[in-house]
Amino acid sequence: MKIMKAQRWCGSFSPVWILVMILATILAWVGLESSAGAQDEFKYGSLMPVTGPIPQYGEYFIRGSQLALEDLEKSGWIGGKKIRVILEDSKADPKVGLVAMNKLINIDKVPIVESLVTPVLMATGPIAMQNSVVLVNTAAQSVPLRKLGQFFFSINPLADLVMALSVEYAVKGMKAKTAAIIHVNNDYGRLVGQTFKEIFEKQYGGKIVATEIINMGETDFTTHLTKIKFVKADIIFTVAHEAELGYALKKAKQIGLKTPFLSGPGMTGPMTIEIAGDAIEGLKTPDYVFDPYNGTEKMKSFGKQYKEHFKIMPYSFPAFSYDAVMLYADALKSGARTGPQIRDFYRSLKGWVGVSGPVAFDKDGITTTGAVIREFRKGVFVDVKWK
Amino acid sequence: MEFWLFLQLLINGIIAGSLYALLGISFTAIFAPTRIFHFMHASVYVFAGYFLYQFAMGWGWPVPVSILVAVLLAGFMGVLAERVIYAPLRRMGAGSMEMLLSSFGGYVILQNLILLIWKSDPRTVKIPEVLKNGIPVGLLTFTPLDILTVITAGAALWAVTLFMRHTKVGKAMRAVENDPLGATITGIPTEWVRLVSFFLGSVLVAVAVTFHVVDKGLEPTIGVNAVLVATVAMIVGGVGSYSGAALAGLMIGIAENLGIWQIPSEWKNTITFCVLVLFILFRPRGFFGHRMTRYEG
Repeated sequence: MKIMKAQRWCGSFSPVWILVMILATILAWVGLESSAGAQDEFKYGSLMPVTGPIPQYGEYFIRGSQLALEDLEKSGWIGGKKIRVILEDSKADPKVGLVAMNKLINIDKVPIVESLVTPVLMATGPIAMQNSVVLVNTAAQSVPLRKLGQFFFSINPLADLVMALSVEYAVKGMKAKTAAIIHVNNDYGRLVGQTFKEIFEKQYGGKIVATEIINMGETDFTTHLTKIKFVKADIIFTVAHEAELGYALKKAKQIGLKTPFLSGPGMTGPMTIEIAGDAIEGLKTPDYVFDPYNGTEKMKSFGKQYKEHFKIMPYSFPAFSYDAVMLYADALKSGARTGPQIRDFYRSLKGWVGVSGPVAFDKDGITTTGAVIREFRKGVFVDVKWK
Repeated sequence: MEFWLFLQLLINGIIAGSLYALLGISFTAIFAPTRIFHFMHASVYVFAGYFLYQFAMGWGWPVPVSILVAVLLAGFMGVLAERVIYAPLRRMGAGSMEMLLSSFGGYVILQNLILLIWKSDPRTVKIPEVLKNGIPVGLLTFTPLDILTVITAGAALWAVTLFMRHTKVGKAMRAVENDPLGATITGIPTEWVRLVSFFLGSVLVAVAVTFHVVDKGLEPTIGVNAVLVATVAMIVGGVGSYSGAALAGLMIGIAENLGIWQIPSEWKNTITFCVLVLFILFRPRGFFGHRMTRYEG
């Protein structure tokens, strides 16, 4: 009987039980490790399109944040505690972004997430707001982003501000009475295109004579531009991404379309120049104030640092990401740790100047820094003096 | 003005249709004799483009040499797909569905390989600007590259027709297509014929992607659309008919371009599939071919 009892007792230490106990020990250890790790570092979530149709934007973030982290390391981090960037790939797809945002908030427990791409921000924004996680935009421009909530901040200006300037330039600088619009078939393209149309027609009495809608990642613009060629617009306003604009400019030159292009902001990166070749000459674009050639000393210094690292001059987006990380570091230095504390720091920001220019937020969390008009002349974008 | 726009869209349609014709012929060259729905044709298409990019832009080889090597490599990729995937499956008695699924699996693997090697950034291959500068004729414009596209597609169709009619291998391919068992009984080396089919189809699709790359650039996902168009061209043309596939390709190109004259451009791809649905409903054997049922099993 005693033997049987002993066997039953030993039975409770069967291999399954032993395995469970080992797993429990490992989990407890991992938990302790991670909580210890959490004390040693600050987490910075990032939800970027590293793959998918616009991977260059993910690359801009990686480069900008890398330089920011290097500079923070040189200055001794935040009281010796480093910032760790947790990068998730959104593929520029809201469904993928949603899953990744949930992971960042619920598993990684980040207090802040930097992201971009309008559909991804619109899909993930409500979750960030519900969980009091600060959501920082460094590229998307659609006006409805203004309504995302009190934890949303945009370091780049949105289309309402930029389009007002763009349309004014189209009408006064380019003397346009009619315009054709090419826009990408997503929230970003539709909303920015719509903003341009409304201001152009209602405020200035202009007329949109053609609207061509393209798919994200489109490379063949033959039919779209052929139709525009025959409607005789004064300008072609294009809202897409770098590569798409490059292909459109290239095809326009090939088919002998002489109508000048005005692009949306943030579409004129190195990829546009590489794809379009000399067809980019004369392109007008509203652009952010960042100018690594002729801007402020901070901008030029960032430009130099970027070129040393990546052998190419930077574009606005790496500068925005650099500033987003630096701004977070400053919030941490001020003692902010949680989403609401970081939000309050951002809302009270005054006189903060980053490498991308001054950063201060309006009541909706959007930067109050405006934009400028630039034109591509002999290999570089230069400011246009038109007022 | 409307007339000139119509004419320009017609010309655009002929140019686009020439490439579609090449795609249709390339898919027919594989499907008709082997009866394999070679979805990996999409991967061969994209890989050929990336080979060209790597040779011409990555390693700085002269563009004509790069094209030649890329086209040949694509041909060998097709052969490899047959030897490594389809032949072992056939020996194990796999049916057409297993072949299709394996092909799709192969496509997914190769697609990820492309992302791993070249990432998903769009790529371009630079060719002399003179080939891409528009030639204005009244209100119309086309480029020397457009003319070259049409001539190449026509020459490819002519060469394939001659090959199929007048060479021993071509006749063997037709024999295998008509009656695989009979062809084997009469001593035709069917395995060898299959390899030639894959090589020929892959070479033709590589020629098509060459024009795509130098004109419209390259990114990893362009293969799927190419295979869909190729399939539609093959079915509409009549499976087994090379001239039918070419004619269907041309027709799809023209229909797409003229269609968007009156409807928004984003519907362009839908037109292709409307053509397919219409043919399946009203003329299932296509222009000059047989019913698809002949190729089942």
